[in-house]
Amino acid sequence: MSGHVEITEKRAGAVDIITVRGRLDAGSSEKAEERINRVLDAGGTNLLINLCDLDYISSSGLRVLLAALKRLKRDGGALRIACNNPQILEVFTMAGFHRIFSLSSDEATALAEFAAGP
Amino acid sequence: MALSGFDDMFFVLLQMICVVVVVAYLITRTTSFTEVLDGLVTWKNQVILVLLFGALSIYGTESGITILGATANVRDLGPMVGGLACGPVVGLGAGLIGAAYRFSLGGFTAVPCATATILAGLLGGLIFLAAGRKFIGMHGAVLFAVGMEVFHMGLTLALCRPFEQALGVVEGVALPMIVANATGVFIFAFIIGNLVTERQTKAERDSYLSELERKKAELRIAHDIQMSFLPERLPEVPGLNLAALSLPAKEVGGDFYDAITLPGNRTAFVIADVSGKGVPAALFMALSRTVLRANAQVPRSAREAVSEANVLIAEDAKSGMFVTLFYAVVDPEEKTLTYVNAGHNPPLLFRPGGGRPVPLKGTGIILGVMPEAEYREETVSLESGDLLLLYTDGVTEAINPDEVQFGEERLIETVMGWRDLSPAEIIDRVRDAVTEFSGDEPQFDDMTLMVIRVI
Repeated sequence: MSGHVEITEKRAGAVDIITVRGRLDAGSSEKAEERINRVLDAGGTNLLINLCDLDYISSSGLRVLLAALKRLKRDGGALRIACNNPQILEVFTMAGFHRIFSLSSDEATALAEFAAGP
Repeated sequence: MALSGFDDMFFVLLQMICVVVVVAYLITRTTSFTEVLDGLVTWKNQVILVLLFGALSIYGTESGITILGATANVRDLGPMVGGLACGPVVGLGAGLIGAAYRFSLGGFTAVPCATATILAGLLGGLIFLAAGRKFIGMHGAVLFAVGMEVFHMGLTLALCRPFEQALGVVEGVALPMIVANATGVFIFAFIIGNLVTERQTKAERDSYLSELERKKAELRIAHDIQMSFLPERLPEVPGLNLAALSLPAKEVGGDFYDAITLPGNRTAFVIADVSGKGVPAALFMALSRTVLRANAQVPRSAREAVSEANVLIAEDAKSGMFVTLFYAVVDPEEKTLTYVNAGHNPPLLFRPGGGRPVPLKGTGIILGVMPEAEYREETVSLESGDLLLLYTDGVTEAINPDEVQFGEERLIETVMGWRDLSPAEIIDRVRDAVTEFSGDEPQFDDMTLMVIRVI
């Protein structure tokens, strides 16, 4: 199951961008969590998670996003999610994530909002 | 032993090597040797090793081959290996024993030979210290043996007079002695190297096995916790037929279901999925269930019960733990179902008449992430023949070998195909359909199902 996720990292100014493509499910969440934690361990405080090419997210995927959000909130950082996939957004809405996460429809918009501040 | 032919000398050297192999094997298998290898350098261990390597040195003298009146021997071998592998005390001790024995035999080369044997042990021990209190490995050890024997020859040339006689001896024995001692050290180093690898492998295997044991125990504990917090049987509810099933995955998640009898003939139904796996998820499940049960008992609305439970759970939730939960109160007199859906897969309400089911969608955020979260409650009226299916994502996310998910559509089709059966039979059919669909694919997540029919 974990073979269907692809995670890439890049930096844009002071923002770390992690892009997750494919499936974020019980099999691949651990991998995603490790990657996110590595970025945060390295001192990243502005994290943008791009889920525009994510096909599927399960509850374990939601847990990873939530853990990242909690950690960044505690450390005074910020997390934004870029996503325009209606299926993923529906899951977010179902879980109520649209109320606790800052969501943008694409990466550029999310970056602009980082620049604009909280 | 006086020899004339080269073949005879070769034969004796071979014999000597065989003895060295056996002695090396035996010494390295003693408790004292392995303890020193592990860094446990006690006086008792050192004394035993001094005696063993000292005895090897004496054997080295005794087994010497006399070539042209001089003796090629492996007297230095025991002290060298003792020093290299066990430190300066063992090296020096063994060297002194070997040297004393050699000195007692007297002869033309007694002084340089005895001195060289003592130095062999001492230098070996110093190399052991320089290498950080460990054996330097095969290459270094063999190189040291060659160097040591060259030095031994040099010492003979420097100390023995007349010089011509000393030169004659050295010419005769230098090569066989260098080869014999280097071979002996090589054998020891080889066996010590094997021993170290073997012990490492064993240590790794042991720690792997104990890790495996621990993991197994953890899974069993998680499973036991989860099972002990599921209702042993569902209550009898007038006007309803009920059945439920929870199949924990191997790495237990945190699914649970509940049916709580409330005042006024009402009953609260719960299905929930705790994030994460193993013992933490099982404990969080136990906490969530208990908190919810306690809150359900207090006379209040479904919305208030879930909101209050959320505050308590959020206070305890660590590192991204959360619960998706569906909580519904059925009032048989009013014929209503009032529910709060905190981010759970929408339960499906199949109305009589065979149309597509109505999903009971989310009315609030998952539990445990925001203490101040607000929840709405929705009420639907029930009629005779209604069938409500509650499930967790382990059912719809079960995959087949092609990694296709069972999905909501197959779940709906299955239930619609068997909707006239009893709730328990419907659950059996769904379970069979999922099992058949998954084939050999292992169950990845807990699967929980509850079916409620309005009579």
